[in-house]
Amino acid sequence: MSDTIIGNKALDRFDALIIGSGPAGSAVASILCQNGRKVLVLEAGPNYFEGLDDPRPDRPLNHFSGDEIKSRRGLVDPMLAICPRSYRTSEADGERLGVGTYEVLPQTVGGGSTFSDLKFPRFTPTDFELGSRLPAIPDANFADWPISYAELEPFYTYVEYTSGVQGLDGSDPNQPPRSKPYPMPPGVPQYGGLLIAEGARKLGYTLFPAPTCINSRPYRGRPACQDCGMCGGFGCPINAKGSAAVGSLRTALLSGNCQLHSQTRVLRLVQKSGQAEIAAVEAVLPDGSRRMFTADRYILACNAIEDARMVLLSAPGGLGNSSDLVGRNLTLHAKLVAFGIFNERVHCHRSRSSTFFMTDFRGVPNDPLHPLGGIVETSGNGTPISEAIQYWSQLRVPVGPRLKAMMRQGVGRDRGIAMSLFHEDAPQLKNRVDLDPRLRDINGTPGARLTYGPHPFEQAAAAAYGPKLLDIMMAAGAKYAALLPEGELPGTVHLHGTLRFGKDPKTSVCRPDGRFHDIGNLYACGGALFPTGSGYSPTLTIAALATRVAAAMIFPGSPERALPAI
Amino acid sequence: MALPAGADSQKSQLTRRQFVRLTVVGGATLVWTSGCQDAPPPEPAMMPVPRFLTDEERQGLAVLADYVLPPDDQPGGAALGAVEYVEALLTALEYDPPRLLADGPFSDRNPIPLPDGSPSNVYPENSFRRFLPLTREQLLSWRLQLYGSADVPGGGPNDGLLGPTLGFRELCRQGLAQARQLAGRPLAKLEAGEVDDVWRKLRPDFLGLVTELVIAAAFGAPEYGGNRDSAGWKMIHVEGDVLPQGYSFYNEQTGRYQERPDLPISTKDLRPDPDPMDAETILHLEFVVRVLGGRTSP
Repeated sequence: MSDTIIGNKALDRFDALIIGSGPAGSAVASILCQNGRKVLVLEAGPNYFEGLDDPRPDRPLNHFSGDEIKSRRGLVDPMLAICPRSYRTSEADGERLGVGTYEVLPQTVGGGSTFSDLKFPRFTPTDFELGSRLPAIPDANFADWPISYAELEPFYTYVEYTSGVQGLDGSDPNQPPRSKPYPMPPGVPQYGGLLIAEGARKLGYTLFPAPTCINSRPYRGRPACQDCGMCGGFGCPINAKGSAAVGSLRTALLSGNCQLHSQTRVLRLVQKSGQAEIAAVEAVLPDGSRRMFTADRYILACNAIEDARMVLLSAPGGLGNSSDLVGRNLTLHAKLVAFGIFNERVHCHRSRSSTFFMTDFRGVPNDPLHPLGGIVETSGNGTPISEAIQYWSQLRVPVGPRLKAMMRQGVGRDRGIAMSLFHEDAPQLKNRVDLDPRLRDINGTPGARLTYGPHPFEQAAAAAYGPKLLDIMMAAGAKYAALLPEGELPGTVHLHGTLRFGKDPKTSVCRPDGRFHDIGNLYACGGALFPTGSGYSPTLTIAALATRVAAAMIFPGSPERALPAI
Repeated sequence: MALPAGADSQKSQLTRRQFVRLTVVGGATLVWTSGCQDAPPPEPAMMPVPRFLTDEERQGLAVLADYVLPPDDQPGGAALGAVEYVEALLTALEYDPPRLLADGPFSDRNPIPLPDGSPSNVYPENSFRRFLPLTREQLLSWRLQLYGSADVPGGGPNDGLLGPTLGFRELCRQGLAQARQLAGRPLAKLEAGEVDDVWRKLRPDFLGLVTELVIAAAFGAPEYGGNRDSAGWKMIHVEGDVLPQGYSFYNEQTGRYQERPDLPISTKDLRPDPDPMDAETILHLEFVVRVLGGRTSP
């Protein structure tokens, strides 16, 4: 395992301290360091990359593998004692309904992107304008983003080119305007995906090659994907995924301006006495001891749940919370899964998780015939341990000969295809992150409590599009198709809201440049800023927005000037 | 990744003492020597030296493993190594590093491809035989998971709210004792039909744990003690960890992807279906689809 401190170890004074090394934190580090700023990145989890700060072209190496047991044993998602959360649908449920690892993201160098299948669609221009485009909806709190798609576009392009995205220009009928084509063509499509694409075509819908941050040819020193089939939920053993560590954090580390401390968990932000400024952060070190770290600026880059938790842990009622909006308007995307089982083996488990998308169910704002939905991903990619556990725990297949027969016949893994609609959920004040009054993590720190209940807004989309997903499945030749029952939380791990940004300090926590309205040197940069979650996988937009937040620290009036040439 | 041309001149296994890993980065093939320990790694499936379960407990667990995945023309849970897998998990923290998270990137089950994408006779070193060190937080969590609140200084962080954690070790011990008591004699002495009665009366937390552990043993990487000779994977027609060969190969000379004729990604399998859906599976699926209000093609 790598040393817990890497990068330029001689640095001892920092322009910025970034909490979290995922897609947001790595993007900020990359831009600040390439513009000569000195940056300290604190990451709570371990570093599974070797030589991330080593310029030799065969680095970094890593400790990942197609090992399902390792993925299930806490390599990916933090264990309950490390990241306990509680959940309830509303205050009427009492303190909590349950305790678990609800909506947890990996805590490791590179964050969730390290183990993600890295679907990388852009949002569309209307996604930034839903406050204006939708009528007032009871209990919903839609708002415009304080920046437009056009303002974010150069940052989308920058991230797509530096991290490496495969896709096919013009194939998405709802494709937003692009200043440059995708840097790489699509890789090998899934056979099962091709069947669905043909079924959809018969019904007038369009599946197109999924934009994903996975190499389809050697790109910027990393090899082409070899379709090992163990993609989502696995780190890429050959670094063909452009995850945050290899896609942007490495650039920061190689600049000589970055120092990364892994296994260093920030516990709280310490405010300067009597001033609206942060003086330091207190962190627990790899050996369990504690120390303070300081910098000129502090940037929250964990994720929307942990960023809000950090602010709430740092002062009663939360730091910078004059709006009383810290933690509120949590959006997760609603999820509707149509699962089809085919007579023949369609072997989706031999490829990347998802090779086709469809945007026909994104919908149109304020059009009752086409309610706002989201993107549809077509995927298979089951792995055998989770397959067997699902038969037993969800399909009620008894252990014994039936379980063994289902596994040999590969019913879910080898004959199954999912069409998953990730659709826009209405921001609600009551859907929020706060601190559980009694739950504690392994360091004795209060865990996050999620209060989250659905809104008729997203239920309308599910009702409209569910039957149509089944139509497509049957047109594609499925023998069986059904909509899967939803869990207590959507389980999307698409985390947004909680520190929403906007121009008005009464209706937002952070300014359009990411800085807290109330605190002079504290910033958010990732999904926490999103006023609305759109209906698209958020990682690319998280990285693009974080890139812009960093660039605006360098050139506030024209942040795109801070972008290095691609 | 691929081998350089000519590297396939003789069948060989790259070992740690030699050059251990070949990696293609941006088209250049580079040879990398591991900087890790020089000692050969321990054999993965060997019996763990520290034991937790007694002989009778091991025999009882084997009976339950065969109840979860019974032997037929293919091995059952016990023959696949479920007991060894469980014992290795329960004693994992007695090793340094703990035997919980196997290293990567590759096992030695698949060859490094040649520059034209065809398989070579060269296999990577099996890095799955090494285990990764845990962080302080992971180690504390696993101590709580395996040994329970009673053996963690100060107990678990939420014992007051959730009650103390019963560790996997104690849960296995108590569950196997309950099974022995229900059976009235060692489980190994039961007739096949009698295990059914015992299984139905087991405490649900133990029943759930045994089910999950036997499944993981059968279908996980062999280096954890189960899936002996990859028989669990062969039985269900999966290849396991396929790198460094992969299912696709990007040929840098042609600038195109190639698929494997035997295991295609984008086209129909040519081989006949080795295990078609049977009548019971179809009945089960039709039931599930009815419950969910789904659709069935005529």
